[in-house]
Amino acid sequence: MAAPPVIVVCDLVHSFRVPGAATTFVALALPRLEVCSGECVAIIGPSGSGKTTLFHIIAGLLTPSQGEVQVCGVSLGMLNGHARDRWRARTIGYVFQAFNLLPALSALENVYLALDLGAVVPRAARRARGSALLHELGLGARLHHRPGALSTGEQQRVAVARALANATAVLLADEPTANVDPETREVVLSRLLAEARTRDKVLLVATHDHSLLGRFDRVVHLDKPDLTSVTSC
Amino acid sequence: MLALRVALRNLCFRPVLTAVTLALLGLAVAQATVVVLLARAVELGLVQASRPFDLLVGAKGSPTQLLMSTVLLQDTPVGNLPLAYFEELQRDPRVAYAVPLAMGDSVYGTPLLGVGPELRGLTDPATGQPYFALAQGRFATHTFEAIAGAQAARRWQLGDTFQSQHGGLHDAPGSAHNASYTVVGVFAPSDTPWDRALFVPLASYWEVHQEHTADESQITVALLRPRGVKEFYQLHQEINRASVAQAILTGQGMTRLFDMLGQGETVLRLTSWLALAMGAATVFLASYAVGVQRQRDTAILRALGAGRWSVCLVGLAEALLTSLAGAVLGMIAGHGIAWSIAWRVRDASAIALRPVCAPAEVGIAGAVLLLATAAGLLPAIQAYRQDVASHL
Repeated sequence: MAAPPVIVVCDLVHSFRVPGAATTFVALALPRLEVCSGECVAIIGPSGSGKTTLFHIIAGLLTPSQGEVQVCGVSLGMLNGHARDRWRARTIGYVFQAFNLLPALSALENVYLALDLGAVVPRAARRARGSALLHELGLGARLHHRPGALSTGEQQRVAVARALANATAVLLADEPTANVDPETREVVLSRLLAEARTRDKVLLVATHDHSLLGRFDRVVHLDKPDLTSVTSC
Repeated sequence: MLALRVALRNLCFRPVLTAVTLALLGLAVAQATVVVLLARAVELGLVQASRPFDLLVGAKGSPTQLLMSTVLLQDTPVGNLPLAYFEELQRDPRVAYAVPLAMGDSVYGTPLLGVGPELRGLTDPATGQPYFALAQGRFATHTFEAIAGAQAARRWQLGDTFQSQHGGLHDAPGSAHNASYTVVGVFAPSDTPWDRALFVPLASYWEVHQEHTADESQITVALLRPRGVKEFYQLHQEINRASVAQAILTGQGMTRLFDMLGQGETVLRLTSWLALAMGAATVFLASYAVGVQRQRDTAILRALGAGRWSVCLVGLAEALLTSLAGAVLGMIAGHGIAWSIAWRVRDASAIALRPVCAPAEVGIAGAVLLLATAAGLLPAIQAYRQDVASHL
């Protein structure tokens, strides 16, 4: 019997009212999307096609105007605010487009923070886990540096380490290779793909870089009308 | 714990803003602490200073001047009284103890008090210990022998000699008298302004003023200890009814003095509260000035799974940590400043001010924490209500 998809999106629409305009603006319309465990999916589409909106909705950061989203069998619409926060910390690893590291914390503390919030890894092992991830991503000498003291590529790698910290079932990476050098791009992408494939995670990567698409199992075009992207798990 | 850790890191991340906020809040707390400590210390110090004196009898005039010049040695002495009048008081059966005192001369600004041998027997009724006990040497038994008060002994030690001048405490010193005094004893500290005086026998005082005969001899003040409360008030009323002298109850005079000081203290207290409110406003400004960064940090924390209450607590914790540190630093500084002022006052007046912890300090700390909580409330509420996705 086939395993159920990890992510199920049905009839998703997200729109918002633009100040001063009479009509609402549809930021995202996605009839159906299913993603299975261990699958690596590239989400492509021009700017404004709703890639980040889709990630925010899957992460439970945004409530869609219409439609239903299920992640790991949990219908996000059924979760209250507190439960959704707890669920997010344990289920979603998110590499933001702008990295979104806390500037007052060191690289290690940024990763440690995610470990604390997730509370998946035992407390005693958290520091070692954070340190190991940063070493693995080539930041062994930068553990105690704040983001302001790190290069763009190094910040990106800290963001990846933070997303991997809790070994969550779903990894979302919003244009992780957009602003970094080729070496960092390779390190980041390889690490994310390896994590998904070797540990049966779901990886969704929003990207504009079409040269990378061949490395993914599937590509979803958000700009195509009546989009349906379903796979058999 | 998470909120505290993030709040602490945020404060360290903005060292200048945090330091300025701490300094302003600390100064406000220090000011309030100094006012509270010194108000209490002055009250206790003045009570201590007036302990040996129950009823003061001096020439008619200003009661405040009599009190200030006798107890605090801070004003020009009132006029003189005939020695015979003192002797009459001394013989009064309602008087348990009487000490004659002559004032008006000084030695380079140090008050010179002419006292009768009765001073030795002036004791604390509670302990029976003499207020003025010898620490070194002996009592003056001959004319032109002197005993230095504990503080005056820093300048005049055993065997030293000096000449007195007429006046000179609060005006330019007059001509020096020819006679030379020799220090034969030093009093132990009495924690009264008299510690900074030099004590000589009354006879010496009269001799330098050429008042040799008993009929002509005069004193400035009589220190009386009535036998009981009834006698206390009887003597007070009788003396004031007559035309020769005035009597003041030292305790009552001190209360009037506290009332006068209290008006200034009230102004200082109000100023302190205003300063504390401004300190809290600084905490609020410091929280609010980093609004954009805070919104982003809040969104990141929420995106990582922190709950609404956690991010709300980060804002509150920053305000509380700042105010707590400001309160502690301010109180330490306040105690330091209060002690420094107390030492200066002690040097100048010999009034022993001890600005030890006052119960009102708890009120200051409570007020600071309350104001700071209020100051941190708005950023905290904003963090609680903030939309996450739009700030990522």
